[in-house]
Amino acid sequence: MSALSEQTLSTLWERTRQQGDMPGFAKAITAILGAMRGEDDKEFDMARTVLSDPVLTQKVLRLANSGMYSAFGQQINTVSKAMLVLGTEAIGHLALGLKLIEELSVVSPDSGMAHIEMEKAVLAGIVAREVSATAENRHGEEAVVCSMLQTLGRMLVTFYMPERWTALQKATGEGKEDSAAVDMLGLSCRISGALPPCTGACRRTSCRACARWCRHPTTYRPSLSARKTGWRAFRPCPASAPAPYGTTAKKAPLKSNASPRVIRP
Amino acid sequence: MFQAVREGEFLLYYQPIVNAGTREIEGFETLMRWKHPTLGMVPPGRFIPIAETNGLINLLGAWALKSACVQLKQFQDVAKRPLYISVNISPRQFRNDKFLDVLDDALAFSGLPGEQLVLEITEGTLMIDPAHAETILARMAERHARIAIDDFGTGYSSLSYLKRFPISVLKIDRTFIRDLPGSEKDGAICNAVLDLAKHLDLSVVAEGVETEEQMHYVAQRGCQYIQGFLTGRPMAAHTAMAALKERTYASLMTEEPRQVAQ
Repeated sequence: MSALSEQTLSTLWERTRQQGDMPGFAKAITAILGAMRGEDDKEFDMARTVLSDPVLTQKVLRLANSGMYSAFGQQINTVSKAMLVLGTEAIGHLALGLKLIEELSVVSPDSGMAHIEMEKAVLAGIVAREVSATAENRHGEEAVVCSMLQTLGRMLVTFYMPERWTALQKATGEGKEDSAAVDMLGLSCRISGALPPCTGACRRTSCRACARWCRHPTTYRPSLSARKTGWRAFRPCPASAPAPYGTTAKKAPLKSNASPRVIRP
Repeated sequence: MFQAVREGEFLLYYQPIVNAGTREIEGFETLMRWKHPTLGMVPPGRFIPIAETNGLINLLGAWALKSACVQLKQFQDVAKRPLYISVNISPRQFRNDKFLDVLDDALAFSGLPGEQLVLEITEGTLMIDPAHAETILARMAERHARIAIDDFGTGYSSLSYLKRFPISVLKIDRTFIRDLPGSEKDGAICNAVLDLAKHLDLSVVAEGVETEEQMHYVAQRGCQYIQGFLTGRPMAAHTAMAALKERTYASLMTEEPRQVAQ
């Protein structure tokens, strides 16, 4: 790992410590809290609501795979499964703990960029769901999670290091930020994003900041079948595909020549 | 503490409950631990009263019950014999309207038969509202879950509830075991409890057994189950599995030479 990437990750770690978690969307959070209070909404669907917020999705999966829930096998890769393990009350507590992005936007205009990235992630999830439904893919939900959390790196950079993001945009132009990421941050945004959510990544790499960021009981691992079907259907950057569970490759694929990929409908 | 729940900082430890005669592990008591990132292990005595006040005990209790039932399935797979799991139910959890739903969810999710689950309740919990307690205990009995009275003899005791409620197990508090066999008074209390249990057809677990003498004393007077540092400290799930494996292996080893000898 280069000195530059070490530095980027330690900055990222430092800021996550200072600023706390990334925020969630008011719409998803209030819907969940309303349901917890017993407000009658027949349309309410917990899994779907959680999946409409990338940060909450990540938190739900992370908790379900943490040591606290180790009796359940730590291989929970969909929100529906996580709900069975955690129960709605625990998910409510997770929702309750998140700050709201809409409120932050007022305080700091910088979070607008993070907001956009998060909305793109949700959109990617929606597209994944629709495509899976059309393709009659049994692993639809895994595909949604995968698509949504793929851009976690972009979300992290825009939220915690907005000045770096602005610099990337200046260097390359909007939408091409990733092409300069390796030069300017020492690692690709997509890969830094792929690290925290995939199981094994923390142990797999020397990326300590990311490992700490997700406090190593990690979150997301699409099943092999999902990777073959749903996941591949969206042609992710191969370097960002999570390693199979339990594999301990010594080096992380930190370089990627693939172009930045945000699913656009 | 709310943050700790979101970060998944709580863990379950399991303390073996062994048969006084054979010393085989018959079951485990589930104990909560809080692994604080900077303070280290926070003992349950420090955080459970707080959780009881702020209401998190409902969430933690539900988590412990469900996890313990799922964990027992894995313990049994390793041990290759039926075991039982004992889970503490706090007063606030017991009074919660959703408690029976939580119990049903834990049993349904794990597929554990109710007979293998023991719910530990203190005398105090029962005496807050005996009428409500009677209803809940009857519902628990319908699910074949057994009920144990934790820290028996230390709370507000009324022997009439032993008759009134469907109780199966008494747990003799560690304070009565600590000074055995030297203390005559403790000996008298233990004898009385064991005698009472025998006539009411209840099982007895002696808690806090630390020496061979204590174990010998209670076992001789008819106590079937032992729990304490002598027979095993509270341990993480993987350690418990290792202990079960060892026992299985040990029993195989003792059987084999016998077969050869025949």
